[in-house]
Amino acid sequence: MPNDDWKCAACGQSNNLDSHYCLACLCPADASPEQVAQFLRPNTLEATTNDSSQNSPPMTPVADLVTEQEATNPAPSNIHRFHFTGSGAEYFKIWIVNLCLTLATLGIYSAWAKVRRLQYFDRNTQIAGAVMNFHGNPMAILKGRLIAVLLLVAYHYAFGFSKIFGVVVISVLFVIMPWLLRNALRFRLRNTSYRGVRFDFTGHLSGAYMSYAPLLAIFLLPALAGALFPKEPIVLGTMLIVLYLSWPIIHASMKRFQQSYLAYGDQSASYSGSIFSLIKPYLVSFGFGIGLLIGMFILFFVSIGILGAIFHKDVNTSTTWMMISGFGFGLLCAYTMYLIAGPFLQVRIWNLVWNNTQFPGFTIRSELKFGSFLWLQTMNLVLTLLTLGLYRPFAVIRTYQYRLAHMSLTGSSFDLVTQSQHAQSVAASGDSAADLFDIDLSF
Amino acid sequence: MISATYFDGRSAAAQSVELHIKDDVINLLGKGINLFFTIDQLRLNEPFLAAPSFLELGNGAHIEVASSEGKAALHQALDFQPSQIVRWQQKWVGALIATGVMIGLLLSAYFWGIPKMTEIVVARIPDSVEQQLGAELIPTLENGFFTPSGLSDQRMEQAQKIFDAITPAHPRVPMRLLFRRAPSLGANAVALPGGTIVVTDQMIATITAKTGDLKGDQAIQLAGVFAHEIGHVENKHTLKALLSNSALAVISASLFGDFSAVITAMPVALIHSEYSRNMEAQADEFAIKRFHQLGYSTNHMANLFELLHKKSATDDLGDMPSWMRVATDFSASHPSDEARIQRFRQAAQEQEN
Repeated sequence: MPNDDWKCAACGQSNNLDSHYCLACLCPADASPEQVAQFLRPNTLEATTNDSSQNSPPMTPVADLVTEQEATNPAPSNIHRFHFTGSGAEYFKIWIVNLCLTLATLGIYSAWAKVRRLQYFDRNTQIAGAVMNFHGNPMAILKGRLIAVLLLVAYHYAFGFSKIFGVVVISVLFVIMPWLLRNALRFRLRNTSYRGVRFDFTGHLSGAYMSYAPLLAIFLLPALAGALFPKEPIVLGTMLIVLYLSWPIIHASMKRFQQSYLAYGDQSASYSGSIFSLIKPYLVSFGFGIGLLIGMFILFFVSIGILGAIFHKDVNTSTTWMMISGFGFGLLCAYTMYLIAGPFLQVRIWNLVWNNTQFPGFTIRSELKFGSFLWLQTMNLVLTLLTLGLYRPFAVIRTYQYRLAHMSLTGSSFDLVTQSQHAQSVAASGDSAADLFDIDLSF
Repeated sequence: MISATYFDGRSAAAQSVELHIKDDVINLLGKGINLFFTIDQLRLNEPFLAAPSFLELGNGAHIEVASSEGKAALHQALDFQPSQIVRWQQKWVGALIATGVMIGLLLSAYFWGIPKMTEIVVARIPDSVEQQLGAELIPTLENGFFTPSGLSDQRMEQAQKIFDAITPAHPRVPMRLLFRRAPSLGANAVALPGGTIVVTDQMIATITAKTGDLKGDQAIQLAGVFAHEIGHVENKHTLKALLSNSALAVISASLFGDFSAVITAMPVALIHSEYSRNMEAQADEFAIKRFHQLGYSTNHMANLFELLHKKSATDDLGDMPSWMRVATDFSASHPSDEARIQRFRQAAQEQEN
């Protein structure tokens, strides 16, 4: 080839500069010596001569090499790292045009904007020499958004009109939300592909009702109880305290439902995280919150003492200052919590969830670090505020890039993965009638 | 020749192929692969700077072309024309235009679109629906926001007579007056949807503070308060404010991605909703017209405004920063207070001449 630019450190194959991976052995172009060692295989060359496949003749390199070797000799598998090829500057331009058109069309364009955004992220996500892609139909997304807006309006005005109307709205939400949430997840995954093979979500409705009901209770019960028993705050309070205290379990069971039924082609995921696994990270951040509150209280009273000494002549002014500084400390407390405990929980939960998710033949490693993620999110927040929100697309890209850079996939070969029955029948019928009830709700 | 990776859409196996393009036919050549496609069968996905080209071959099969030379050659062979939107989002000038257009859209929606829209929608809402809304709303406000009035029966009777006299003979909806205590509103009067006007004890107390009675000038001052609020009702201002505030909340929520702003309790949103300066002026004009019909001098209204203006300045809340105060409609220290006082004085002079 005329434009070969680098030689693979592991197998010596010449590769094009545009390729982040060696096409022969999948070793990353920028692999460290330790990584290269994983790709060094004494019997690599033998594998090329090993012709075991019958219905599809042996292809040149790419991943096939590894497969056929796997088939005869279950050798250690390869580590595949994710690469993100997108940039903040490129995404900024897409983002701002999306926003402008969404505004100009009173929100209708947001469905097309979402498809464009997901395609940008998916097609710039590379792993093992191939990219992901999103194939969702914008009309299906628009339909989902219209339903979501109707539900939101109904909820917004639920108790503004009458109690009966309010109770009806809340009951309807309770019944259809788990169904909608399950379908939204399924829509997203069925329309995401990698190597031409679609992902899927195979969770049943019963599971959706069980895992989403407590979440809905947290959002809907306060409105319901507030309207029906306005004189009995204890009823509402007790219900909410029970629900809030069990939030780590509710969250973990939702994650469990979402991860257990992931599928890639004909390969179903398994999830080993228990419903108690999120208790520890939540306890740690709760403890941090308590510590923060105590610290802030001490700081608050010290500063009140100082201010009181300065303004002791004017009682009126000092009460005003007390209010303002109380308000300020409250805000500071909330933001510190949001800035520190938020990223902490995100990192811990993300790692825990993905490290417990497995596909047959593939394991996922997620090693997000709290310190660097905290710094990233703080910078993102500061720059977004300083630029009046214009930095937001850059922040989104950097966060996505960070996540990908700290994740890897260990596995042998993708060759044995085939398209699922469902995806095949959709492809065969050639229409998107199957999309009719697959709507997307996320904003 | 372009080198590419082929996926058949049935398995996840990647296969290296070479693309040979001649006229309208693309030939895919690899080990055991020899496929022909005409160009109109193929669909190239939206190109991104560094992402591989993604060419759909039909039946779920596709090829990915990673090298920039290969991508350029493919675009050329397919005679690929990016859509208007794709071309728009490729240039920085485009981003600048998008920003400008967006700011223009937001400003015109705020100053023209939303008022126009509420005008049209409110004109279509029947009075009966508005009255029903008001009837549902009042009980929810009685739960804590309003408490029963502490005024004497005699005082209420006096105020009711003033109210009946200032109400036009044929109002748009039947008018009703309620007396309530509402510490958070201060000296104030509020028009609710459906023709209910609530006057706070503090408002009556402020007006009667000087003479200790509700007669003569003081009665005309209270009539001015009522006339202004009736002006809001006659012009359907409560509904308009409610609608435009909801529309603003939805826009800001979709811009900043925060829907908690939308999910606020409606009654409270209504009470704290500020009328636009235009609406206040309309209500003032209604009051001036009504005063002229009855032969009252609008100087009394100017006096009342001066009184309320001074009161809000000397109130306990006076030393609070202005942004921490609850913005209210009638007595709040609008920057336009002085302009409004001047308008009443001017109207009184016109009447004398």
